[in-house]
Amino acid sequence: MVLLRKNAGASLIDLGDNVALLEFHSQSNAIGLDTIQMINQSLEEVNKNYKGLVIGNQGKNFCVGANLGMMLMEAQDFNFPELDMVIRQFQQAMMNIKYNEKPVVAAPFGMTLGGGTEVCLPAHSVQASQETYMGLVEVGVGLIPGGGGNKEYYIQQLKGLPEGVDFDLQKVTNDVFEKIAMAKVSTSAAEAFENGLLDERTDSISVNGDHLIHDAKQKVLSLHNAGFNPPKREKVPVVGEAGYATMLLGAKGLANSGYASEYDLKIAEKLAFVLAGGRLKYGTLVDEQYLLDLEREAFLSLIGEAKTQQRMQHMLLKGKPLRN
Amino acid sequence: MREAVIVAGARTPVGKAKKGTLANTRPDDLAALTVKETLKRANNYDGPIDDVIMGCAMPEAEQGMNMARNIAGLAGLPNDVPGITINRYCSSGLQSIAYAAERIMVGGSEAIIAGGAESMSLIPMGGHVIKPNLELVQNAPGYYMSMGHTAEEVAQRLVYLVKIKMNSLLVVTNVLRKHYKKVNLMTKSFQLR
Repeated sequence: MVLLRKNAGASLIDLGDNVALLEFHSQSNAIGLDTIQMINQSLEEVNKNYKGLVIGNQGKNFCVGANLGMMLMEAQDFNFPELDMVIRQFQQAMMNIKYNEKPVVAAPFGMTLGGGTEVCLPAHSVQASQETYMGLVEVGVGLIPGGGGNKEYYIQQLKGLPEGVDFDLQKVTNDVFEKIAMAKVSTSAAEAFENGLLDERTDSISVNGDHLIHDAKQKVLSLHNAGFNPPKREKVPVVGEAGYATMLLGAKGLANSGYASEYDLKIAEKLAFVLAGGRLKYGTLVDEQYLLDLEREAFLSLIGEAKTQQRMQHMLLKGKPLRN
Repeated sequence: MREAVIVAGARTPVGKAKKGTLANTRPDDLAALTVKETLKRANNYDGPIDDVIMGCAMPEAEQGMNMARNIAGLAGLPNDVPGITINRYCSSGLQSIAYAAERIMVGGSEAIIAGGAESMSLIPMGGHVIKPNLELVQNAPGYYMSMGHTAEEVAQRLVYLVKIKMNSLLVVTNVLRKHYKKVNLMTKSFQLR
């Protein structure tokens, strides 16, 4: 194993057989700007000299999400242009993974939360350890996923549906909305399949966690040998205004029943708007970038809220979510 | 103004939603049986019927389109008997009887079949596809409030009414029940064969 590149957040390592490994090694493997930079540099390097990339590590957890401390500090300093830039880069890095010309395989294990899940969603294949706790948990800290997670999770559910068959788009959107709004986390890789975070056609499980990186590397090689092609850029159908109203009504019902606080409702409102694709006609086809812009706008507006900052601070200090 | 009378009435048995023996039976089929039974109870009435009015809270799918007209056909009524389906949510069936009575009282009709039909097993609350209006959801979500929540609201707002007036309502209900029993108009359910 040869170390190819390194910064404070991540390293790029040669795994042999022309496969590279991107390893996170920041505190709790949280994603910061340095990690994002290393993702982009790794893809560049892999496209030039390697058959593909594994994203994995052998730390305590795969990745606990984005670097909350850094974002909270920027938000408290009202440094929103900087935050906008970070989120933009995070989204772009995830898009780079998705459309990379060489195969990218993520190898999650243990806690794979928020940003950690967002790294796995655009990867071409996921080789998950049996003990993988996956979920988009941003609502717990008063945010919504900011690295394209909303869009990718939604698209992943649409992919399973046969073409040309009439189906209710709203049910798919409602399902994704519910899972993100409730910050649902899988208790195993098998449950991550049930939750739709992993896809049976491309992803698989390693029962022995010690073999995880090896299995992921073999997957890169098999994708390469099968003549890998990155996915085509396709427009995404959204539920629009009527769907937004439906999700909002559901969230208000939960708040009415006392299952969600007033602030939970506010976050759910923003999430519903992003997933619905704004106030469009039902079934409108939109660009992925349009959905990313909506997501970024919602993320930035939430991080400026006092109650979101309280939730973030609580998570950093006490390690558990605050319900305010 | 002339008086309208209820000549006969019937209702189907009630089963457990989604689990009972009637869970997969279409509401229009059930309603047609009820119409037939009602006519039987009205001394096998086979005279002219001016209208069939049916109430339905979620008029779609199996109970969709103009269900009242379909029920008339399924019950074997002549092709020239018209039908109208109305919706006032939970009071739809009661409202259809009120409308029928009013038509007769003003002399617009002589004989009407009126009632309600709904399958809570086949059609979920709110219908299969919910597309609420954003304007109402944002500014007056009460228009879409579900039944559990409306009950909570009533309990909160009318707590005094509940305590003070329930007794008098009970008296009224008892008087009505005795009256109906006396003239044998209690709408008994019939045996499904």
